[in-house]
Amino acid sequence: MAILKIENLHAEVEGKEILKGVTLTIEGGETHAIMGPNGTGKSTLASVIMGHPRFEVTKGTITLDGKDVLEMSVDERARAGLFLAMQAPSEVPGVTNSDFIKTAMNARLDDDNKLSLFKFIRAYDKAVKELKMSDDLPHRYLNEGFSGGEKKRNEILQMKMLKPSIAILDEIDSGLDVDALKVVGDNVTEMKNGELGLLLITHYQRLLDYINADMVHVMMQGRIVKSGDTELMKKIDQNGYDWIKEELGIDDERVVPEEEERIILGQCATKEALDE
Amino acid sequence: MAMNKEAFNELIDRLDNVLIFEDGHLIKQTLSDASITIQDKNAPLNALFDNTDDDLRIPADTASTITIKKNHVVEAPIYIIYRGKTTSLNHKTTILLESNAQANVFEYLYNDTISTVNFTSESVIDTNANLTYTSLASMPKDSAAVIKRSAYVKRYGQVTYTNAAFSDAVTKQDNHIILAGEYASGTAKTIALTSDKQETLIKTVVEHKAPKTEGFIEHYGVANDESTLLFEGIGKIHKNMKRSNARQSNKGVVLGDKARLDANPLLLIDEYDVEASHGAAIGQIDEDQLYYLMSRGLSQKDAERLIINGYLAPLNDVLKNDLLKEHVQALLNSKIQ
Ligand SMILES: Nc1ncnc2c1ncn2[C@@H]1O[C@H](COP(=O)(O)OP(=O)(O)O)[C@@H](O)[C@H]1O
Ligand SMILES: [Mg+2]
Repeated sequence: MAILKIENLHAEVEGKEILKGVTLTIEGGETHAIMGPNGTGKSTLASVIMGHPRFEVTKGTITLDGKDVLEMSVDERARAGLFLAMQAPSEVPGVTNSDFIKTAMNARLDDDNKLSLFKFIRAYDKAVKELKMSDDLPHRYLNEGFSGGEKKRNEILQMKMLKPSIAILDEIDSGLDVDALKVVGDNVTEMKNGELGLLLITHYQRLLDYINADMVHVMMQGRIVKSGDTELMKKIDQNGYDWIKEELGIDDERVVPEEEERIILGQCATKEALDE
Repeated sequence: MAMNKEAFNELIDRLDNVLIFEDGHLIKQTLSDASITIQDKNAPLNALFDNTDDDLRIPADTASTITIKKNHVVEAPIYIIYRGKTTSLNHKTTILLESNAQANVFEYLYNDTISTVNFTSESVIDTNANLTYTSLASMPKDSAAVIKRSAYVKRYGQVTYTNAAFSDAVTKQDNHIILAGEYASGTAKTIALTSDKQETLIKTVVEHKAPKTEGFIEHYGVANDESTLLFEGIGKIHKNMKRSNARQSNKGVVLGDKARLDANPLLLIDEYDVEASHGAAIGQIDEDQLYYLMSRGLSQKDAERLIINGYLAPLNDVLKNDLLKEHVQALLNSKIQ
């Protein structure tokens, strides 16, 4: 059974520390939820686990089945069994969903054992149907022109095809209406076969109505400040996060205070305008 | 690395509906449509294209004119192969689409040996006629190619060029569209891949010489190794050509550390009542796209290849033939490895 161990993880972006000592262990068969308001470092944790080149780990360790994850390249991490359903997946024009996922599946197989095209198409079409996505999805370009909800479902579709041992789902519920949330919830729940380790990242409790979690962790200021079980989930659902802040004497839960945040966002906006 | 000869020979053997010119002579003709006429001289059109700023005035050794008759719709793509086998490729083709005619032409310029290539294609698209023109070039390293494709489009006429500039030759490619009648529309797309120490200039001009005309220029480029690739796109709207629309986009990635890729989009507009835009996105491969693909287990090389393949999408949309798609794919892979 897979085991992902994160210990005292510190990471920074552009010289600014975002993760300030995260410790968390996820074992195959378990489902953990990380909850917390916006800007507390949840997506950064997911990106650092997957190996996004923009973040630099300054302290701490991540291991998968005892192997040093931080030593691995992004693709090696994926092939070792990690999967991240991203909060904001990229659009890749000109690359079809089916070419992409076929290449990804083949990357896990050695040259003598490449996927049969026929089997692939059958499996892919079946998964597309199970996620109630449109028939032309395989031939559409990767996430290009997809609605927010379609992108999320496409992440789960990829997960179904790749069958990871540890999967992190970052805000998989955002942009989904209730029907779509149920479809995604059912599909994820079906993949829980006693082997899969799941980490759900969300700031709403509603996702957990569809996917049961065994443990919940609250993230603030770039670290996990409180962990618990379903009781804690219910309490957050009813009372929000303020009582936790009060209990722990936290004033501003975000990693980066508001005025600095604005500067960072300002830079992003300018960059996007240039990219257009 | 240029396409190897076997793959090329196999392709032209297996293609139907072909015209094959070898060293300027028509050696094979399997067009299923008997009404298409082919003559071995150029129709005298110089007046139409004369005033274009054109540094290509080397007369062609051999010539041909292909005419599609009035109201005639040619469904099957016409594959025209120009091969320089023992001499260099030096040819000029005129394509005449009479009013309401439609045709889909695929041009393949291929040179067996290192040489100079001088190729001109001039098309006249008469009232309400429609020409889809796709081109592919494959020539060995150290060759030099001057290629010019022009279209003169009359009222309600349409032309769409998709040029795959995949050769290893030092290349100057001109693509010139003259929109000469109201509601004429023209699209010129070029996908250029350069490698080694190759230098390539792609110049595309769309001239609006009538009101209510539409012109689109799209450049896609990948510059590998130590190559230099330059896109010059010019949309020219003459005075009084009201309610015309000129658009241009330039996209590209630089793969080689010493490669250069530049785009100079230009709009020359002498009229207020028009729409025009241009944009350029040239740079490295998008870091987030690369990360996304790699996060699913693709090696960096596979991920890059897939993203670059994405640039071929406009070409794949017009290649109707699987054989050709495979051939183009192989050419592409040889350029970006
Ligand atoms: N690429 C980046 N560049 C600069 N700052 C970043 C970047 N990614 C995240 N941050 C900052 O890190 C903090 C935490 O962000 P994030 O991990 O996305 O939080 P959450 O997912 O909990 O909403 C925010 O202040 C955000 O601005
Ligand atoms: Mg987030």
